Formats: sequence, structure tokens, C-alpha cells
Amino acid sequence: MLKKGNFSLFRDKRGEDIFPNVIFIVVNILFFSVMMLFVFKASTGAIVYEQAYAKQIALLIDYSKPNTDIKIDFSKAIAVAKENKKTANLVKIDDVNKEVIVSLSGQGGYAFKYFSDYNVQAEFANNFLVLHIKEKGDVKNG
Amino acid sequence: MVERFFRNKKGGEKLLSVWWFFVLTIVGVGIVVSVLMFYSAEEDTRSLESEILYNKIIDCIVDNGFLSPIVLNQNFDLMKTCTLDEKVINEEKLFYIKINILDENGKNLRESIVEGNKEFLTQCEIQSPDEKGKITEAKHYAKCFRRTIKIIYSGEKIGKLEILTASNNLGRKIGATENV
Repeated sequence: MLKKGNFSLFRDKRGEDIFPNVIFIVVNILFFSVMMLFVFKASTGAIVYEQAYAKQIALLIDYSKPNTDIKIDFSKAIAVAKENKKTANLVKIDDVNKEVIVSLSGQGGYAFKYFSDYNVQAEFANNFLVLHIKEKGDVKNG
Repeated sequence: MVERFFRNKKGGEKLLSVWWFFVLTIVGVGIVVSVLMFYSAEEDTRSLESEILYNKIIDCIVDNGFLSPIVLNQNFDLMKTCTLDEKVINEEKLFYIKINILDENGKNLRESIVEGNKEFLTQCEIQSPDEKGKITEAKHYAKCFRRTIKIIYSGEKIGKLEILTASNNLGRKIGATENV
């Protein structure tokens, strides 16, 4: 089958080279695989989740009443952060500027303001983010 | 050998030509740009925020349809009573609140309570439906929420409460150099 000087494996019945066609197909498959990988990476990337979680947390704070505890499933965000090799400081509640900052990668994050004048504390319990919303000056429970 | 990948026997350019790479580049750049544009777009929560602000005010000053008596006092402090942040609303001007308290005949019972960015009032007027019900959308204008409800004040008197809230709170991306 593999004759010397005549690579019949890479020739069709008419004796034409099929190697360029194979390369063409491989390059195309490679190109579209890279594109699909890029789209998948972009859709599950930190930038999407940072914005979504920051806005969700801020709106929840504004929507709640004082002396409320809110538990948010943060597992997806934690998984994204782990992919980006970030394990600490995923969420920061800036009580002075009334801002929720979510950072799931080492490259910045996303900040979103809330309008309620509450004393908000955030802590992680397993894969959940727990928000403790207290009235301003509520030191006893805060 | 290499030339064979790019040319057929007749010497014409085969499929892996410069043109084909050009087409792949155009398609690639198109996909990358459109995906980045799609996923970096802002999720607009301003309308929702305006509604939340409205609900917060209603919960704070109206109890089962009865208007809290302190609201009719000229010294009434909306921000403190409703635990709203003075800095975010009045200094950073991301929100707007206007409250009118009217009697049965539509006469003001007290001065309008106004907080936040006063420019948003014009933006809300522009975006409100015209006589034909057509709404003008403006991407960069604040998103507004307006409701009028019936209330009972000073015992048994029936009046109206008009509340307009607006938000133009867009989040911001934080750069890698900023402290998170």
C-alpha cells in the first residue's frame, strides 16, 4: 500500500493529492473549535458573574428590611474564582461608599451602589454568602 | 511539498489560500468582537431599582393605607425616616425622589418632598407616555417609576399620594490597579 515514492495513502483513485484537503478540514475544525472555546470561556467568565452578583447583592440589600439575614448561593462564583486562582476577598461591602464590590479574578472586579443606609456585613458559610443587614448604629447585633 | 498544500496540479490556488486565511480572520474577529460586546454589556437594573425605591418609601410612610402623620410635618426628614443614604442620593445624585401629598380635590397638603438629582425629573417627563401612549426611550436617561395611590390622612380624610422615583445607577468596572 505504501509504495516507495508514491504515497498512495494520501492519494485518491484519480491519483490526486488528498493531503491538502485533509489539512484544510483539520484547520477548519481547529479554527471553529478555538472559536467555540472562546465563546464558552467568555460566557462563563468572571466578568459576567461579577456584574450579576454585584447587582443581585445590592438589589437584595435595598429590598430587605433591617434585621434580616440573607443567604445567597455563591457556588458558581466560587467555582469561577477558583478557575482564576482567587480564593479570598470575593465580595466586599463598602459601608462608607455604599458599594458592593465583587471580584472573581485577579484583574479588578465590578462595583455597584445601593441606596439604603444600613449596616451590612457579609460572611461565607460553605458555598453560601450570608448577608447580615442591621440598622445603622446597631452595635449590639452588628 | 509545501507549495502543494496551497496549489493544485493546475497551479491554481487551492483552498488554503491567502483569501481563505482572510475569510477566517474576518469571521474570527467578527465572533470575538460580537461576543465581547454581548458579554460586556450592562445588565440594566435601573427600572427595578426605581421600583424598589418606591416600595421602600411606601412601606416607610404608609401603613395599611394610613399616611404616617409625621409626613405632613414640614420638618419631616425622608432620608432618616426611610433609612436612605444621604450621600448616594443627594451627593452622588444617582437617584431621584419626588412625593406629592394631595387632598381629595388635588390640592397640595404640604410642599413636595424632593430628594436627589433634580435633572431626572425632566428625563422622566421626556420618557413618560404622550397623548397617544407612545413612550420615548432614552438609553442614558434615568429610569423612572411613578405611581399614585389613595391614602387616609389625619384620621378619616381621603387623599392621594403621588410618588416618582428614578434611578440612573450604573455599576462600574474596577481595574486591576484598584484595591478590591
